[in-house]
Amino acid sequence: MKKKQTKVKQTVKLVLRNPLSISWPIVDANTQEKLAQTLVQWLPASHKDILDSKLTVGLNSVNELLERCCQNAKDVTQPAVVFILHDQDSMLVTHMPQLVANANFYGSSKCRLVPLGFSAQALIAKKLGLSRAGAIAVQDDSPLWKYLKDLVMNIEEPQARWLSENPEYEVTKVEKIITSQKENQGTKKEGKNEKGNEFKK
Amino acid sequence: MDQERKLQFLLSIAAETYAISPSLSSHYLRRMFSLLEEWNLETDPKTLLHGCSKCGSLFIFGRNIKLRTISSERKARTDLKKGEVSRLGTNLEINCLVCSYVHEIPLGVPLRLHQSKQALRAKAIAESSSTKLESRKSAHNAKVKQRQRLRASGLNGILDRKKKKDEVAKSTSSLSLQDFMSPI
Repeated sequence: MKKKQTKVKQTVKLVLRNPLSISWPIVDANTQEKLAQTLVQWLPASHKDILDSKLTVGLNSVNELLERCCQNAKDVTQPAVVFILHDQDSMLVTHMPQLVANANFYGSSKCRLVPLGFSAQALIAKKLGLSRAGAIAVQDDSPLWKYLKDLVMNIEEPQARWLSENPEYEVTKVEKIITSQKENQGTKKEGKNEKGNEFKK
Repeated sequence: MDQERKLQFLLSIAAETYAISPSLSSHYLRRMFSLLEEWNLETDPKTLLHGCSKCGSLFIFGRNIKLRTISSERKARTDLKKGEVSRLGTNLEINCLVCSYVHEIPLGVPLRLHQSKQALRAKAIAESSSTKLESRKSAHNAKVKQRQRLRASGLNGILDRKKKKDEVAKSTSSLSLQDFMSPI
């Protein structure tokens, strides 16, 4: 019988940079920790209290709320701050800076975007009694806002300057990422061989 | 390199002309996607978030795109034990509001936030077995230490201990004749 051999194959993937993309706001680790502790301490524990607290919990719910702010800003109350409980390079939330920036452009008030990272999701989801909580939006009339206001005021709001200003010429940039893909050779068993991709920059 | 530069240029010019002429921007983006398919280049999955591959509309999040995460059933796995169920995967659903085209990007199984019940049960079993093992080890260590002490003391130690035992036996109760005769 042949022994299994794990071979790593590197592939190069093209990365196209969108000039309309907006970078994530910079939040220092100390502020992130304080915000996570504040959320764990003051978030409501039941589903009914979540609704009464003017909170929107969940990635899809926050997406829907921000989209309604972009399309019909008069009838929708824009959140004051949106917490993202995923890593910044996750594909689930890579569009959030632009979405919040568009909401700030079309809406009447300003919304801040705070990335807390995936490590904070476990504690916050456990506090809320949910299996997952990818994003949390807090309105300015929420009882939780008074505890968060001082901490998030220093964070810059994402802005869509390209919507309000004339476009400028940008030099063409080409980027690449190198990924590693594992392949098993030799004896193969059905259902046990899985390929994993790792992204490296 | 020329291919990559051309593709990046098409994306950039599509973004820059969107405010002036959305149709012209769509033309550039459609050209970009057609070239990607023609040249059979591997791209980052995030490329699909730049624009619609069908109508070429540049995605303005919140205005002409609807983004949702949905759960998806995975293929049947043959490596699972009887009664085990595979976890649901996650797909990123991209709805273009211009041409109503829906594109799904599979993202795989999300990372676990909490340990599964099986993992917790296995952990409890491991902890109980480790405590039993530690108790056995401690008893064994006590015996070993006792033997070491006996060896260290030598023959004199053994004799001393024997004398102590004899004294203890005499002090408690004895059936010898001397004990009966002593009061007389």
